[in-house]
Amino acid sequence: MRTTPILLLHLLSGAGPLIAQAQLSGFVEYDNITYLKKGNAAKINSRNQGILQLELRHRASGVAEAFGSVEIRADQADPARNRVFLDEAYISLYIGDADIRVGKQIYAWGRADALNPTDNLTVWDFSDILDTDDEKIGALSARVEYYFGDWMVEGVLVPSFTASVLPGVDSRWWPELPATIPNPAYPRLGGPTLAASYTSAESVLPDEGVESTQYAVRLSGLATGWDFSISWFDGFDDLPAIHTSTVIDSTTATAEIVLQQRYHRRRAIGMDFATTMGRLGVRGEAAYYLTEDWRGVDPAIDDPYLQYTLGLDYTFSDVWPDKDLFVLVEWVQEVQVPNRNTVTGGITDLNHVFRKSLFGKVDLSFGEFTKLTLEGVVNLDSEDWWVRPGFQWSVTDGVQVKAEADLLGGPEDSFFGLFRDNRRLHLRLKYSF
Amino acid sequence: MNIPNRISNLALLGLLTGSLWAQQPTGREIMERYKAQDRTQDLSAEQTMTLTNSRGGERERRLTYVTRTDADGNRRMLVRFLAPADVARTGFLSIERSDRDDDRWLYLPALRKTRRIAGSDKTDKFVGSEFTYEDLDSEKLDLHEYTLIGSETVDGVDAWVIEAVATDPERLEETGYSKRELWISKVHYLVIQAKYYDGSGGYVKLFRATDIRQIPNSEKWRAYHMTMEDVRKGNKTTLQVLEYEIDQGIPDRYFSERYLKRGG
Repeated sequence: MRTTPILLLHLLSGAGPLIAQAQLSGFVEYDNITYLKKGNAAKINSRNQGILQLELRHRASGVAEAFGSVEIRADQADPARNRVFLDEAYISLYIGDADIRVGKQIYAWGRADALNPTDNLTVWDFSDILDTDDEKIGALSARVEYYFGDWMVEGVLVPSFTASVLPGVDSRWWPELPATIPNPAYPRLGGPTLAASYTSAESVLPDEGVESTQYAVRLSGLATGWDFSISWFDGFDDLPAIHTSTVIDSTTATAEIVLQQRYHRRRAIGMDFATTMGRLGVRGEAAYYLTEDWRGVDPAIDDPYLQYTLGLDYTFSDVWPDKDLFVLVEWVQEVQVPNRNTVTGGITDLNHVFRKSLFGKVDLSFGEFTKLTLEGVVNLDSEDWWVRPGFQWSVTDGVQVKAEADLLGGPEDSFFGLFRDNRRLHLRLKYSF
Repeated sequence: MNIPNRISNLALLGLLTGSLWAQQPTGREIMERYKAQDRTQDLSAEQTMTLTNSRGGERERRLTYVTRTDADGNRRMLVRFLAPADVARTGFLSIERSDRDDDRWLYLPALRKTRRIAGSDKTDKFVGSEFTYEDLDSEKLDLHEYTLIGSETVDGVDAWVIEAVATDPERLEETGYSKRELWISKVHYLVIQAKYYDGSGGYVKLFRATDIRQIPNSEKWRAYHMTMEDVRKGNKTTLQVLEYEIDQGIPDRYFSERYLKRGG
């Protein structure tokens, strides 16, 4: 049969110009993470990984564009992290005043820097809590942006639910469950305790089909030096609520606790703004979460709450010759509205790590290619903290070296205190092409 | 030669020199012709920017920029980096405002975010180059006094030498220079060389523009090769323009977050 090769040749010759028009880019990255304190042998105690990210962009004309991005990751220390993963794959159409994008895509809503309460469309890979670099997961969705003057209205439809990725049981970020629990027969603290054993029930995900559809709309504008938006999200919490059922055997003083992850619907009214006053940047963001437990009767489900953030940033030029200093501070607070004096989430609930928190970031740039960085957060209510000093150097065009340390501390019953043994060093070498 | 004749000849010479002097344009007049030659409704260019440090180390960036100037003289500018790969698709948008601080945004493709950024001092460097934001400003004739101080030939191009000093109190506050000396080509009415003096009068930077060509299908002249050198530190930025296009009718809406994040 000669037809097939000839046909193939014909097809390829036609595709040649198309491939030639496409832009291939991406990066190769090597990461090493070393924990300063050796952990439990059953845990993954380091990371030694390589990543190849390939991105292909093709603009067919002024009105259509296609983009795809694939990540190939190999981790010698933790083969469970090996993956070939489609980060994004979408088609964009630019028609008149409307921009339409359909496919797997990442959203980045919100104008604040440290935390974005309005950014509810994109789920995260939290398998490494402190790895904040490129850990968003695209959502299969359709987005329409319509522009009129200095205004833009945006609508997003996400037909199916995807959960955020949580740390595995062999991760150093998986919290150890208490070996004993208070005996409910002795309500006062200090009474005899029960030996606890745990089992996991199958997670309850939103029903597939129309019921799991999520949507969001946003109106953004620009007026006299202010950027702002208001938004509405109707979807699901990408993090599970942990529901427990406990069976107590008084004769043996034991408790068998069944844990089940359930994903609940939530809605959020959001707003954000950004402006500048001279060299001072001012930005803020807030979302009021309307949870499933509006009446506050189920302790496993969040009661409605408001989360807001307010930040300032300033760049001091030439603090020393050719050295600029960038300083950012941002306040984050969570307020239960209406206030029922109930506790929202446990200490490892990632939705509620920052309840009264002060973020900070300082960059000291030595010209364009080298900088010292320092960022961190302190939770004022739980008195725990995280600090990351770092150094970045652009060795040559496209090649970057980054060295960072993660330091954590605080009381045992606080988030960063619980993981205070996860102090670590992180080295990254990245080549972009 | 009798006395009356000598007087008559001297008078004639006086008249001639007077008339010749009267034909010499003033610094302001030369700058007005420069401004007219420089003015376009919009301009776009693709160029390489090479940063060279005092040890000879080089970094090269490729970028496009598009500007549009409105009736009030306020400029909108959208800059996109094409290379190297670690900064490719990064965008910078600025809109000059007469009544308040300029609007500025940065698009960071890795974060997929557009971030409003605070205004820089006029003396801050533009994207790590030896050009400051002040150097990139369009020439504001009413804020300066221009004095013609001579005539020189630079690289075979005959040029007026103008001394420019800021006179406007607000400009005096924000400028990094006590004065500038501008070499304006007598043929093209372009700045072909400039010397910059800091607040204490020290000579700090040298700008040179060569490879002057007429933009196709227009009467405008532009330099395709420019350098700005910090004469004290030895750092240099070289701009090599690959292509200019002017007056294409680029609308105001192009200078918006929508086009900034589209990434070229």
